[in-house]
Amino acid sequence: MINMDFIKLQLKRISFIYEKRTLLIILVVLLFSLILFGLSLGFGETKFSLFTVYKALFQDLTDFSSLIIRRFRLPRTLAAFLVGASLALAGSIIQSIVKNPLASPDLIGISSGGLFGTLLFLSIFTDPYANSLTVSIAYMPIFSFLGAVAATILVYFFAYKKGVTPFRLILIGIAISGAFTAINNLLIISGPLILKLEANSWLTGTVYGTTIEEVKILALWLLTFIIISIIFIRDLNVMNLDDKVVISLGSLIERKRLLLLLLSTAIASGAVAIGGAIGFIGLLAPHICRKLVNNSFGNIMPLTLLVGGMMVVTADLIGRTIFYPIEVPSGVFTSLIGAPFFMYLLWKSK
Amino acid sequence: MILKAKQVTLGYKNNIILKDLNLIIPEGSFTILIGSNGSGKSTLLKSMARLLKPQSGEVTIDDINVFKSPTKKIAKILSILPQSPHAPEELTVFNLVKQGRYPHQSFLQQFSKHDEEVINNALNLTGVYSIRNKKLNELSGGQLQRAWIALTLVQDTDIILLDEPTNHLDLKYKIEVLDLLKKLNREKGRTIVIVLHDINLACRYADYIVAIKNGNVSHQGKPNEIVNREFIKEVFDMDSTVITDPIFNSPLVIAY
Repeated sequence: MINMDFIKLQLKRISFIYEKRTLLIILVVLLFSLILFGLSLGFGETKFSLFTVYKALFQDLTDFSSLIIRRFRLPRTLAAFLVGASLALAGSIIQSIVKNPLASPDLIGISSGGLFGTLLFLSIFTDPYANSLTVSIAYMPIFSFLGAVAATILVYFFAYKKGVTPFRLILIGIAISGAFTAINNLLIISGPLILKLEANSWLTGTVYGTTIEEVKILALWLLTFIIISIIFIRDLNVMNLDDKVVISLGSLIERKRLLLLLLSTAIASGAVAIGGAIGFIGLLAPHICRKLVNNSFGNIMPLTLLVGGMMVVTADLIGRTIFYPIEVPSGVFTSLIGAPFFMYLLWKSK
Repeated sequence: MILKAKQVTLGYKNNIILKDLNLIIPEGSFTILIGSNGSGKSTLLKSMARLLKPQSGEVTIDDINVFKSPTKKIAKILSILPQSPHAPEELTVFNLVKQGRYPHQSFLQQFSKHDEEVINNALNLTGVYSIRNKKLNELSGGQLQRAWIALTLVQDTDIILLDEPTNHLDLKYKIEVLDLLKKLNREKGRTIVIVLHDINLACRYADYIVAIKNGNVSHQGKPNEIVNREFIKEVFDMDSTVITDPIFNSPLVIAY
């Protein structure tokens, strides 16, 4: 049986098992992602064919198409993908911790906390006369992370009562999220002019104007936490079960829960630093993946990265083309789809 | 491995449920805890599985305190199946059962030959092998319960505790589940402790019965030796006639 459905590695000290079907689905989704990537690089004010995109990427040309594709569209598309992938992974981890498919980083305060950190950074380190930063942009994700961690710790602290029940975690999360959103609005109103101008897209979420440096930082950040997530795959699976079963299986439940919550916070905060609070990706992407493959973290994780990434790339592509020359932030589209879907899930779960 | 509760007091703040309770679970026995609703039998079971910390007293396995030893170590000798446990609906039986190996595995060792063998055996023994690729929300109550028992078996512990494993099951499945547990006890030598509501099924399956009343153990012993009219009156506050079951020779309680 296991030989038919799974790929196995069984050596003396190392052993793994993986579903064959998942590998196939990952491959298909990966193919879709590549095509979407090509489309995203090709579409815009000037349109390029997929072939031109290919040439611009893989041949060392210095013509007009290469400039546009490499300098402007590539960082943006990559950023969109990485932001989406991060939010989706963070969402799938949170859902496992709170044992509830309705949870996501934007719903329990992580995103608004991360945004708080980002806004704080911009308020402190923006030179109001030159409208430029006084320190390297590389420090921004750290502030986002600290803001998100602050939110997470607050949520955990208030939800703690002889351990944390998933239900309390969600309710307190919603409250903290509201509080941070209020503070964020205050920061925008009282902050430097540039914040006011960009506030709207920050709050809705966009990858407009992302530089290649930012993309590199986010990529490194995400990669680090993907590796850590892989190490915790077994824990993420077990955490999905009844708390009593988790204890019976010998997991240090409270410690692991806090650790995984921080892991998810770290992943989401990277995305928030670059893309703002793009909503509902953390909710939607893991849900779609659970329809595609069997629900186990090893199956969901690689797929949710791809699906989440594709969602934001699509939202960004639509946002910058459909009402051209007006840019619509990606978050508008993800929320347009996400909000009704969230209500549908709520309604379905009685 | 002998599971003991020593001077255990359990409850919440001002509401003490069990007080200074002592209990020794005989090694290799099929022990059933009984008592009326709210007597604290489930509370006791949870505490013995380290799910609920006593206010005072201790729970030990071979004189190791279960609350003070590494939880992973305890997970290799004792498992508990709680009442109606929660799991994601879309989980497949295999992906649920597999996780019972958690305490035996590590990051590098996620599916050894031994793991595979134990999982296959448990799937076969519980009769869920053929439905291993089904999702939990597609299963009947009996199948679901057997899948959970398979997870408990996969954990491969000497002592297995189950909190009302036959709750919400049709009579057919009740018997099926209890037969399975009895088989485990007989053939694999596992010590099994369960909480059960049905006194007659308890008498038929248990080789050791523990009755909880007024916050303590009121009676314990073999069904044939302790279950009679007075026992039922004291434990359940009910009048009855106790006869011998014509098939199983265990006490049969006819309450009125």
